[in-house]
Amino acid sequence: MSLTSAILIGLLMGIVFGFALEKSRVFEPGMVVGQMQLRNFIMLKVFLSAIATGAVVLGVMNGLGLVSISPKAALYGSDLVGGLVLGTGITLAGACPGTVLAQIGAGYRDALFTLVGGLFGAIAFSYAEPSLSQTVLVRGAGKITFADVLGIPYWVGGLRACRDHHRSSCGAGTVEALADRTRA
Amino acid sequence: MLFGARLADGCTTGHGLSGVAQLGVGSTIAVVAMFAAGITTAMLAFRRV
Repeated sequence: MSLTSAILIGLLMGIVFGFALEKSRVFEPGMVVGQMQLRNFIMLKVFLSAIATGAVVLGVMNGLGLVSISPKAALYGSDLVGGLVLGTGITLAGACPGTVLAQIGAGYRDALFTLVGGLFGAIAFSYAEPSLSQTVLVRGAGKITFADVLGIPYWVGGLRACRDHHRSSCGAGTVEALADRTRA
Repeated sequence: MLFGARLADGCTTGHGLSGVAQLGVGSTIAVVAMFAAGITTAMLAFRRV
């Protein structure tokens, strides 16, 4: 793919993603914090639906041989510790690295400060990276997927994950009902 | 927020949407850690509702 078409496709996908994110209202700070406080489960449900949609689209395209998948390498320590730091930041800021851009687009002025703070965090990581790369954090298993673990082709796993979306959504609904009952 | 995202080599979208849809093992670990830390922080930092 040429650079120009890559940029054009990227722009187009970004617009589609931003539009869907705005319409779902999941970018709103109250929505993010509400999910983490287990007050409303809209963010988790939209998240699971987006994953299921992605899995079925990629599964079909991969099964037809149109696309290959490119999963990230599993770096257990980095994924775990980085995920914990990121999750803490998401709750405190009321934004994810993606939704902060949607917040700016939707006119939340304070999201600009979230973005600037995030960029400082990214710069801090650049300074910390040389010493972090010496630690146990970078140990991992390469680019493995659950389809590899099960020994099935990706497209079978992707379609199976989509089928299980119904079950995981019901799971989210059960947790939601439990959280409501605990508060009542 | 972005310190964590760079350490984990992906954000909510990269790991959560793209990574989990591709059934990545590391991505799933990162997403579980994100929600675990997020919920814990909300319980510690914010008033209970």
